[in-house]
Amino acid sequence: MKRICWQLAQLLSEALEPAEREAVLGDVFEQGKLFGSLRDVFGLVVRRQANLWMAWRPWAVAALLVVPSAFLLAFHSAHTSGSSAITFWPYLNNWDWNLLNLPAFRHDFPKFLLDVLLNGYIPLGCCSWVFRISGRSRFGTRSSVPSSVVLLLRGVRPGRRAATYFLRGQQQSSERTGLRATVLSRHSACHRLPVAGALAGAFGHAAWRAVAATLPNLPAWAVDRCAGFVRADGLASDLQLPRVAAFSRAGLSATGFRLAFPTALPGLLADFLLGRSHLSSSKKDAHRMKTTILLLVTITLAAAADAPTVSAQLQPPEERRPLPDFAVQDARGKKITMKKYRGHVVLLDFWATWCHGCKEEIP
Amino acid sequence: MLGEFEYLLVSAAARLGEDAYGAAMRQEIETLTGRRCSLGALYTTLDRLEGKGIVETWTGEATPERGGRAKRMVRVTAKGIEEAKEFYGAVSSISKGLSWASQ
Repeated sequence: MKRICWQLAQLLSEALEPAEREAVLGDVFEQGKLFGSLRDVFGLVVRRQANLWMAWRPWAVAALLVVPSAFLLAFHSAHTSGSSAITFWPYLNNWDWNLLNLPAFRHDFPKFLLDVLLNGYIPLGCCSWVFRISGRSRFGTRSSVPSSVVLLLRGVRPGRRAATYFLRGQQQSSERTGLRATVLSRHSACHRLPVAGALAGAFGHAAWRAVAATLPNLPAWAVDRCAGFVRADGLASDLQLPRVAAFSRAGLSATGFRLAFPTALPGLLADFLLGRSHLSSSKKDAHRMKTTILLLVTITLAAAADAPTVSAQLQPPEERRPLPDFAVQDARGKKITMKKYRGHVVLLDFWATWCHGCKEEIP
Repeated sequence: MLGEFEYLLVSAAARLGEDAYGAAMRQEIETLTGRRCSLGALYTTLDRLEGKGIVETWTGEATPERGGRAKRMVRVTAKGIEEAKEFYGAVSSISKGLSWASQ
């Protein structure tokens, strides 16, 4: 029990500044009352987090920068995770090594893989890279400026200061440099949101399904739409395809990144905006951030340029042939023949009950 | 003027002198006043006091009894002593002649 309390206290203290974490954990260790100290560490973390939101700037930046980009990126990550899981499913479920002998497969599959990587997973990976950089700065100490700490010199434009204040957290006076500067650490509410988002996303889907199951009159669309928040996982579970479910989770797919990704862009934007005005203690970090941003921008532009366009290639009238007559039953059991529609434009859509993508296409 | 809890912290730091740091100050306050002092309140108040120039803090040495972790040492500044005197004077003045002050 004591060991669990200690581990929990250490985990909680991750949300504190490195120097403060060192002092607090030392105090906890020295006093030996681990259970009570767990409450203390939690209380301190809550106070520190609440302090970040006491000024108007974080709220302004959240409304103007974070929320709009969150919407944008949520759509992107939703599309990536959902569509890639759907497209991978036929391959995974029907995999046959003989497919490699087919020229069409050899042409299409690598192209599809490249498309998924460029449009989806590499940008998401770039953001996780930035998180890793920010995570590393936790090991800095008060006496040496942490690797990702930024000295934001006075005189920068208010917008940048506001963004940086929100993204990088608490202000500390810089005694070490003697500059009239504000040291802004990367340990802020924003950088912790991805962790909370990933956890919330991971449990959210299962929780929603459980709640939905207890509500008898809930319309099916409501269940699906809300569960669709983590669509790739949900889809795979619905289809009882453990391989796809595992893939969509392991493949940086829906849950975590759906929520984590939206909070990453503001960090990237701030890094980019501050690129010329900040003094990073680690040039390597600054370089890596810039590389990440450039990579992200390049991929986004490439993806935009390569976006599929609608190309309706109709057959010339002389090559068209009449549709053979056939009869089907509609949903009410009424017989429908194609003869009845002769002379009209008829769209035939072949779909199956197990195909969620097909069902979404139905008007 | 200092707040009540701020005064307790400054007094605890002054009593401990060179040995003032988080855990020791907490112990001092809890023992002498009989009230609970949470680490959250202690460290956030210390930050506020440091911001006002009433105390100064620095990273001390790491000791084995703390699992090799450093202490956040605290020292009361000259301004802090003045502020504490002012608070004490105000409390003493307003308490003069009151039944509980003579006990």
